[in-house]
Amino acid sequence: MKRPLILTFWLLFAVSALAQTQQGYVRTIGRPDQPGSSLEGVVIQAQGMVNAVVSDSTGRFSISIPGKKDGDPIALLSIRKKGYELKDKELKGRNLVCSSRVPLHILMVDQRQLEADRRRIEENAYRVAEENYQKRLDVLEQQKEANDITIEQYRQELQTLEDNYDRYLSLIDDMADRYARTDYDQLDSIDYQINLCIENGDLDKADSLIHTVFDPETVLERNRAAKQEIQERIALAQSIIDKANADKAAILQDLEYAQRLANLCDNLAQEYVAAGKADMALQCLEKSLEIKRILYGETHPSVEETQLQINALRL
Amino acid sequence: MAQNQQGYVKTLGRPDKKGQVLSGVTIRVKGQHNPVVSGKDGAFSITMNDMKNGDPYSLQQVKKNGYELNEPTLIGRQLAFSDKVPLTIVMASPDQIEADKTRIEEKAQQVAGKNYEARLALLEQQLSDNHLTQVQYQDSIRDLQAKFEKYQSLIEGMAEHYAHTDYDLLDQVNREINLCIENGQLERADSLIQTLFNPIEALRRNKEALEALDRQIAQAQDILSQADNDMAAVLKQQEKDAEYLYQLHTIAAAKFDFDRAQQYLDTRAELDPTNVIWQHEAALFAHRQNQLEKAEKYYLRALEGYRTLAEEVPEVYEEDLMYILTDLGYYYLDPERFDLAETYTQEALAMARQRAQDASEQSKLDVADVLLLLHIIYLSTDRVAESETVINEAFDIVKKIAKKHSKDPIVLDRYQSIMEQVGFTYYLNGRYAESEKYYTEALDLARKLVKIEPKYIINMPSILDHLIRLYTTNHQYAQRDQCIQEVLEIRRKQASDNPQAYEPDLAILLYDYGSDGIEESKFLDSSVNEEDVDQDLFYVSMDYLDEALVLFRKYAHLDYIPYWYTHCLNLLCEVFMMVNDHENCRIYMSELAPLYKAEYQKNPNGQQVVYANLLEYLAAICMVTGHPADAETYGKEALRVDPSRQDVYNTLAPALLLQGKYAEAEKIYLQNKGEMKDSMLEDLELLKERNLIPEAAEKDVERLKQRLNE
Repeated sequence: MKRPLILTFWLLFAVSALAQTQQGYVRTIGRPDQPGSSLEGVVIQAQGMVNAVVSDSTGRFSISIPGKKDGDPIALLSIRKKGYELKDKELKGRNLVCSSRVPLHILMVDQRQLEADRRRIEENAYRVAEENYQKRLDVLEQQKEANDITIEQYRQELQTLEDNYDRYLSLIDDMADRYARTDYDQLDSIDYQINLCIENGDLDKADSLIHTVFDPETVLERNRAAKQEIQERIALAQSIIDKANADKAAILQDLEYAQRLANLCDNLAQEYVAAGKADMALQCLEKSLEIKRILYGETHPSVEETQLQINALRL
Repeated sequence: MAQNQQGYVKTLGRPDKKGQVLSGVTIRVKGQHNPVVSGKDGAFSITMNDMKNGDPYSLQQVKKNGYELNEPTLIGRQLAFSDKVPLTIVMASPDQIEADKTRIEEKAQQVAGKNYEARLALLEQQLSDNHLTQVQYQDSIRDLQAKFEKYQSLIEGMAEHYAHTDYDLLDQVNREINLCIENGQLERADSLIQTLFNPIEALRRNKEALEALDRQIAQAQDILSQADNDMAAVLKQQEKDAEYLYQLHTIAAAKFDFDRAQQYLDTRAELDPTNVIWQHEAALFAHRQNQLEKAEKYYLRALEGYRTLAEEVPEVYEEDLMYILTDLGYYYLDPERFDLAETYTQEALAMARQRAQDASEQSKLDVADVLLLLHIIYLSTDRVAESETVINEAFDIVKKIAKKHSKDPIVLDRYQSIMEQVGFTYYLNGRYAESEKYYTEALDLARKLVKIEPKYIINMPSILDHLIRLYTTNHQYAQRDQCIQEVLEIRRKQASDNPQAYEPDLAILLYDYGSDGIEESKFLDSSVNEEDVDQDLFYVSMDYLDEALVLFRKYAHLDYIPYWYTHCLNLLCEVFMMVNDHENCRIYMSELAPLYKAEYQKNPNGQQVVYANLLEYLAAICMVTGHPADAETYGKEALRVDPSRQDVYNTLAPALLLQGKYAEAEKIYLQNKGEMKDSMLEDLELLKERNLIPEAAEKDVERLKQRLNE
């Protein structure tokens, strides 16, 4: 009766060792007026899976794909829930990394909220564009009145202004979509404020906030220098490892040679014993022991065995 | 990726015979289906997929008739893959092994036997010399016996061991040592070992050095993993930096500072040239900014990136690759690098066609989009037949889909637009009948669309324009006018809703129609008889010009309007000159004067002649229409602009005269009397005939005539 149980237990163990479980959870993005929350009922299908899984009431899900281990790539081919879409459309199909420790974090956005936010941001953007246009137009008019610019210059500037205005309008849609997808839960307090200002059209304030934490003039240099420094460290460490390995190879050869010598001594000792020359045999064994002690350390079986042989001979 | 484990098979090296390479050995790796066979030089090469140096593998079988593995434990043993270090497999002929074993055993037996005899003799000697007691002798004999038997039992194992020793591996001295042992020359073996023996100290130092190196390696590994962590942090910061740059880009664009906005996108793209999205967005923006070189640089980088991604994850990135190939196709149209445009477009087309095998509508429409681009390229490179083939294919695709979605405005809009394209292609290739067919169908569809959604009214002018152009080319003026009416109706409605935005363009449109019409009517063609002039067309066109003129006057302050305004006035002058209506001519020319003056002030050298011409002509017209004061003004102005125009005096003189400025007039007359006396007198007669001489001036005229005749 006991046997089958053990067998079953072993089978279970064997099966679960083969299929890796990848955890994950789904959340909605946080917006300024509403933090994100876990999302239930999201249907997820990973590449290589037969059945889809569904996120539970805490937004968690668990994918089991046979043959996958930590570090292997895994792609999610479909992530669906009615009324919602992925914050980052690129997530679908992208290769993520399997990990039994690190769960997959999926962000989704409520489509109605997205629409509303987009519209709101667009309106603000239009308003800002209008204001800007009007401001510049007033300046131009003034300059024309005061004869600071010629009629010709005025006409040219006006044309440029019109073009620029149209140009900006054509950019608004994409910008609004992008900002409507920002996850406020992941932002620190400065970034939170910056994004909020941009969405509301307080662009000057956003600009000055950004400049308190970011310098566009030096970012490239800083980035390049940081990467270079790290790469130098890696190259140095790698060269140390390579050299050490090469040095090791030479030493290991020497050690292997010593090992063979010890073996030869053992063999010779055996011959001496057969020839009745015990004292010669003893000498050989003692040489062998000396070598082995250094090679393997005191507690190695080979050392112990040779010691025993010596002891036997001494008797 | 496939990796190769190289190796070779050889026979066992023996003292008298070096090992040879062994061909025809079948080797099978565990887990692989196909075996490899060693070649003539004993070499073999095993292909193993996805192996890195150090990865484990094992052999399942090594076989050749007449041979066996020297070390049978090689089968199943875990070996380490290396693409550098070859695997040596040693085989031996069982017969040879047996022979060697026998030989070694016999030798060993001999030696043992000799030794035994010697020891026995020694013991007996000791007994007879009374160095040993009987008991000691017995014990020693038993001892010797036991040792001899033990040795006997060892011989076979020993013989086996030495029979399998590969002499090729041993260096010279080791060979000798082994040989000595095999042959029982133990003392010699011993002394040879002494010569090889490493000083113990060196050995100890080596062992310590090894441990030190391992510690070094461990430390270096730590540095590597710390570097990995640091890099991860740098990349995280990079994401943040990219976000800030995008935000600054947004803010700059909102201030209409597009150069700066571009700079921010550029910086972001440079942060990581392998990030396709950053490259692509920078490219698109630069393209719009007309910074073509920059756009090209970023497009090509994005292309590289998408190619790599599409190879790795085709299901996701093939579509993006196709789109960017199309973007590049469009990009190269501007600088007219049609060869490059075509290369990229053809690649995109191949991809689109392959993707369309899934038979989804969207992928078919993608094919149509690329075909449209290709047809533009063919048109640009004068490949007429190809352009028609291609656009017809695109048209068929869209048509089929439109049939299934006959109520969907977006699909219909696209269908209508491609019909327009087909019509235009036929028009460009001179196939007017087909062209008209497609245009009219497109027009019907456009009308249908407007009924579904009024906003589609904006499609109509474009098709109507195409038709107008077609009808003009074909001299179908009735249809042409019908279309013009329809366009004007739409444009006038737009203009009444928003005059500032639409009236200027309406003005230009009216001028276009008007001037085309005047030309087609042949009114200004002096070689055409009056009865052959199309009067209806002429009058309709004049109405358009009048309407245009009103609007030109209203919007003269706009940068681009004066050009058209000037052309319109010039055309009207030409028309009135044609019928000798000098008064109307004068009116319009007077309106032209300030416009020409403005141009002249901007560019005195370039515009001098043109302006002077106008003034001279205008002065003359004013004279013959009874406006001597204006004639004087314009005449003097003409002379100021171009003092060399002597002919102006012909106009200036009478102008002064008729105004009663006798002294000034006389001066000019007398100065030029020499060359021009006759023509001056003729002019005066002419003026008299036309009753242009006011009563007050009559006496002066007579006086002057007398002076001339002197």
